[in-house]
Amino acid sequence: MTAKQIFFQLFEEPDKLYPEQPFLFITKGKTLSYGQAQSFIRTTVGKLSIATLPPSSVVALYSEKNNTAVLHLHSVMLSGKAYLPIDVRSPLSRILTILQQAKPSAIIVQEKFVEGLSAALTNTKTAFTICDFETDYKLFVFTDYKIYNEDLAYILFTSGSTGTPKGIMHSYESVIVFVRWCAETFAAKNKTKFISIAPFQFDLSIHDLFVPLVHASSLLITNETETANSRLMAQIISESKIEIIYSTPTFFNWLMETGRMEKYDFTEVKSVLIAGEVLRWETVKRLKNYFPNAEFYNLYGPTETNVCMYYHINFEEEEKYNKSVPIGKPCNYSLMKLQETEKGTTLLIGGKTLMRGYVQDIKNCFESIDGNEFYATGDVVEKVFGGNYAYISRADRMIKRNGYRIEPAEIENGLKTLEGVKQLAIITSTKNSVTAIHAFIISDKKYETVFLKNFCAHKIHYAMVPDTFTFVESIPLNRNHKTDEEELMKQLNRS
Amino acid sequence: MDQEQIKNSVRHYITQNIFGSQLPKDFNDDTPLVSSRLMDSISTLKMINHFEEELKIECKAHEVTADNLDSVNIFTAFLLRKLSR
Repeated sequence: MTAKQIFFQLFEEPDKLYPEQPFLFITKGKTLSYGQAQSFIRTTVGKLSIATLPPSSVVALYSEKNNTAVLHLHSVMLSGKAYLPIDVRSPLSRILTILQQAKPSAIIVQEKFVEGLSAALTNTKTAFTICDFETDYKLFVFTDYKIYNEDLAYILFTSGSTGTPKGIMHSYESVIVFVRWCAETFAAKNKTKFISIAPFQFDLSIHDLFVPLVHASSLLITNETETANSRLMAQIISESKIEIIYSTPTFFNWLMETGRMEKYDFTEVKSVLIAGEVLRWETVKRLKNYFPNAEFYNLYGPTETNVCMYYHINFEEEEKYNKSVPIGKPCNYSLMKLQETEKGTTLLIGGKTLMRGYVQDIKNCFESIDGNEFYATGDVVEKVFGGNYAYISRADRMIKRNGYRIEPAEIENGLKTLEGVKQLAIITSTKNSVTAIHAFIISDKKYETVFLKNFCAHKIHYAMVPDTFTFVESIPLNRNHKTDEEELMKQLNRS
Repeated sequence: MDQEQIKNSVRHYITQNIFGSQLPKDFNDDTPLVSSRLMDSISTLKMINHFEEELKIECKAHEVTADNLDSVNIFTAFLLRKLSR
């Protein structure tokens, strides 16, 4: 049986065994059962079939985060295609780049966004209306598309070091192996309540979308408005009696700092999974006070490998290594190699959840070692205690903010299109676990901050918009002829 | 506190916490704060916390939205409504 067939079974089993079991929470008190979800999905799969989309192609989804979007993603997969989620908050230029690179055979667009997306829909030949139970969608079929490997399950676009986004391709095998491992490793049992916090463009969503299926569990989807409101999130997690939560250190710090968590009871929470950024002991120790019955896990893995290492947090081990919570040891499906570089010991990851490659390049993105393919993460690590590893730093310029990875080149490319801009330097600072991005600009023309923020919002992903903009006469260099970040920070503090 | 005092206090908070030392020249009391992403979800919640303490008011979870926060004028009007209840 292929991984794709196993995945199809994964969704059908809860429907057969527990058709009445809630799959999705719709609104307070109302749910959509596995049986109802399956019926909805069959209808949409039928519509995708009428559109005669080529097999092994990709279907993009342009939608807010909502329950219907979840059903559409499942429909795309069960119709034998791979899905490509596109962030509706991205600027149009970025969306066009993603579509040009991935060349999907169709795009499902939430009705309210159709007009705004018209520039991206010029080479479509037919359109179908898909009326859904919560909000309407349209399916647009493209005339020009790309055929992928039959095993492709999804593509997630992330920031690229060349300045343009890159599409990371994952197989059904990657999904199945990861989902089964999660089901065995974390404290999930039948009919557990999960919450989806991460956007579907973010790799944390792979856990949220598919792990609940293994245990016929229920999933509460939070939308962008809810996830921007920590007080609402605290209330939702408590009142919905959520049992498994997966998010970033930034999210949890924000929840504790501003969510008024002391007002609520979180004793139902059984597992707290944390990934996407460096996790500090302080964060997880504070979290333990709010989630007294939970087990805590620090998960590690770039989008190219999904989760490949993990550490089941033992609070007594802080004294063995207190700089950060370790990223642990490789998962049982991962292969790990270390490479000595001038920046330190860097991590290479292979194994069953390794991506199939980038949309733009499926060959030159791996290193072959002893007959296995590895992805060079660019993360500098050190061995700490009990065979565990800890993250130290990046070997390159990549920035992590709110779980998003950001290549400064993409910010620079956006800002360089501004009239008069000659040279740029992008640096970061971190205070109280919050990362800020600072842009230093050499330009013939000076611009005010509000204008620059608006300009960036139309050019680059919102997570990449710099926090500060400073106009300088020159970019100082250090002894190695690289940008002198220390000197720039001094200038920033003086301004 | 009257409307002008609250507005000055909101302006002062934004100056100190968003822009560091002084308001940009192209900033005014109608400049979008949230929808323009001048403020993110962390900074908006911190601002709410600050004014809850300063004005001894309590904002409900569902009130923490861009509809009530998106400019100095909008946020000032929201705070005045909370004070009048």
